[in-house]
Amino acid sequence: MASLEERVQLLEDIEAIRRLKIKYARLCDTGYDGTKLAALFTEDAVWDGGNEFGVQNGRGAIKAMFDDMSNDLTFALHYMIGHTIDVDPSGTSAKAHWYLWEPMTYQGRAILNAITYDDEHRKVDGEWLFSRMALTFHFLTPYEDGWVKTRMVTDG
Amino acid sequence: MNLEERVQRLEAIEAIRRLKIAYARVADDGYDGDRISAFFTEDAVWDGGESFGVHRGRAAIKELFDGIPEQISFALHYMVGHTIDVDLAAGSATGHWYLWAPMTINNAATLGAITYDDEYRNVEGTWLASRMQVDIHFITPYEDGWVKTPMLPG
Repeated sequence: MASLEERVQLLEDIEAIRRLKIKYARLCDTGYDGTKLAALFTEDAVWDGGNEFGVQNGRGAIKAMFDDMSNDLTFALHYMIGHTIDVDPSGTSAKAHWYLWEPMTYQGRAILNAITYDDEHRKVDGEWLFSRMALTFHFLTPYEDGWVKTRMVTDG
Repeated sequence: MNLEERVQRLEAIEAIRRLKIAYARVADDGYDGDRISAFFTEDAVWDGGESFGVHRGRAAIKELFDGIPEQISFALHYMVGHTIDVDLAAGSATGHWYLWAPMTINNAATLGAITYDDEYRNVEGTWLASRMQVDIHFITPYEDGWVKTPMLPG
């Protein structure tokens, strides 16, 4: 049985990791500042957007990607929902799963985006960071179409 | 409550929250009846009201979920806004949740808005659902919206 101190630490770690994801969402929704977003990732982090949005290796590449994001993605709200966070017994790494519901405006069009995330975290100097963020796109559909008519707008 | 009990309460809330999200993820991964029914007590009730019926016992719940993919080929269960009340001494809890669910039902894009009133029991150290009551606010064809068509026919 873990000590009381260890049990409270686990609850605090889960809350800190949850806050990190919400911080990420809020920075996305307030203009995708690449410097601020990249600071949430480890130096060697990977942002994996799959076939749709590519793979960014390292904090520098992640910053460059986000700095360009606002050109086409002029509005977004990242509703981060339903987290499952597993902290490693070492207390220095963790894995997380999230749902995202995201209404956005992309190239002037209203778009609905449904994503799940598989994230990995490391605690660096007492602070939880993302070491990996992997996106699974369930649909990315023009609002007028819906996901049965057009599952992925990028296919068109 | 002493410190031990206060920490136990927070741990129970987190365990029950995770249980509900695990339920959502298995539903979204194809509604496997065996995996979903394992989140329920043997005597659990899944109460879907007039629309989805009342299913009593783990076996009936398994059967219900095994049949769902015939109609619902895709769903994402966004479980939001939990209220969880724990009775540590009794080993029981209640929960209230909001659900936002984009789905594909009979090959049509559909939006579901549901709230849940749940009951949970701690069975040998594991929190399980002993009752899940589903209150459907709308299940509407995406193209229609909930004023035009609040409930899918059938």
